[in-house]
Amino acid sequence: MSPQEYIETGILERFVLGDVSDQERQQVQCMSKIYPEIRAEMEQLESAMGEYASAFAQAPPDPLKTKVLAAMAAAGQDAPKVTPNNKDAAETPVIPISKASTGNPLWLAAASLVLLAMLGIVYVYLSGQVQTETDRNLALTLDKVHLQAEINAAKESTQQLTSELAIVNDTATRRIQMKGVGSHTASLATVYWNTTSTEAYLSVNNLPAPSEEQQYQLWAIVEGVPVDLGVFDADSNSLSLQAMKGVQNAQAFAVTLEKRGGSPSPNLEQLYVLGNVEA
Amino acid sequence: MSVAQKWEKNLYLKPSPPMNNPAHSDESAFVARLQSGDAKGMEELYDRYSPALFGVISRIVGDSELAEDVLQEVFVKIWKNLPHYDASKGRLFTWMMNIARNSAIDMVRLKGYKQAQKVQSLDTAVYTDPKSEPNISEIGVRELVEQLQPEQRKIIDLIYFKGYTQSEVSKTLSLPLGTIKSRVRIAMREMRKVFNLF
Repeated sequence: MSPQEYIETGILERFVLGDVSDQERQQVQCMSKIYPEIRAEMEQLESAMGEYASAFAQAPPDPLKTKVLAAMAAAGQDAPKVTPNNKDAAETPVIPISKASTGNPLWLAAASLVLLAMLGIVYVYLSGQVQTETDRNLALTLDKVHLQAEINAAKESTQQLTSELAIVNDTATRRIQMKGVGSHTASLATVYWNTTSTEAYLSVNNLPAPSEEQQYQLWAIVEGVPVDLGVFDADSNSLSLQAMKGVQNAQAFAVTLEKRGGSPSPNLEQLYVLGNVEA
Repeated sequence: MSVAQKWEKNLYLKPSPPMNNPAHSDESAFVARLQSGDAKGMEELYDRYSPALFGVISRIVGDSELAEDVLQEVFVKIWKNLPHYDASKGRLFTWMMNIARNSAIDMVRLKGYKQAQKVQSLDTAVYTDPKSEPNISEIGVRELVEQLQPEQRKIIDLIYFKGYTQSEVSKTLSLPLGTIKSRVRIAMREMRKVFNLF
């Protein structure tokens, strides 16, 4: 497909109107970077949309200004982006399963896939334009890089799954299903607790995504007293295990929804799932 | 508010040309200042863009107290995420508008249908709102908006202000999806003709 044909699909209009999926948005931004014609077209549409939106402009009430500026100053700015999702890395105490690896396997796999997607897009558009020998070579090289990225992603994925399988199959591992409590009938999470090593791993099967100010927290009930096993995010892949803090002697496990960062003791009104350790 | 004060406000109501047309050198310098956390830049950001953002938010959310809360939330989000913004994401104004639109639409969905009922009917445009007094520079842009066909505007407004997808619009207006798609394209083409100076 040529840039002109891409423009003809009407995707730029939808982008400017906000009617695109995340994937499509990334694609448009990518295409816009590569093809100046697409960028020019997008800028005209953005400009027109901006003018249209400004027709509805309303001055906000005067006192709002100081309030908003104060809130902005208080919130501050994020650190500039270095790697994808690095702002999440500092918040949750998730330890990578395969400690031997140099990076977090999941993120490497995700980054490989994003690269793959972008290369895929460039590949498709370039391969449609193959005319000269150099273009053909470029297409073949992209092919190779494409496949390499695929292989990397598959390798990381396999590595991670193998590690997780080892944990689950260990004879000392007990599987405790934490079922939904109260109104949270569909919620479900599972703890894999190795009674010999005291390690505990969590698998989120079904927990609703919380707001930005909140985070889930895992607890072990030891001698009737809740013990914090760490906070975690619910958006993880339901097949993957997260390493939590270990516990020696638990009677039950539970998950509550707390403020981001967790609390020293559980908010029992936000109890989502609970599972007893069978004797 | 005195006439002089009103007039002063007018100047802010239409984003001044350097921000909304391809004068890249102006915008990239401004963005650089903002990304360095410059306090004056923060204030300038609010002064230049709060009316446009507030207008869009109000149109979506309706209730003015809620709109004020959303405006604050939006500016905090914008300020926090400025270091993550780069020109490949499009114009700064577009990026901010999307944050405003999405936050407002999320708020409407959070509050449920009841809140959405308070949103001004899209047919009775801002023009009939007794609170907003017409002024010279606003009239210019509003006259341009009136040059657009009502059929086209309805579709654009459903997508832009209510966050509908094209297929949701097709269901709501009981028109075939293909018709909606082509009307969107025609409407956007019209909009470019009407609003662009080039």
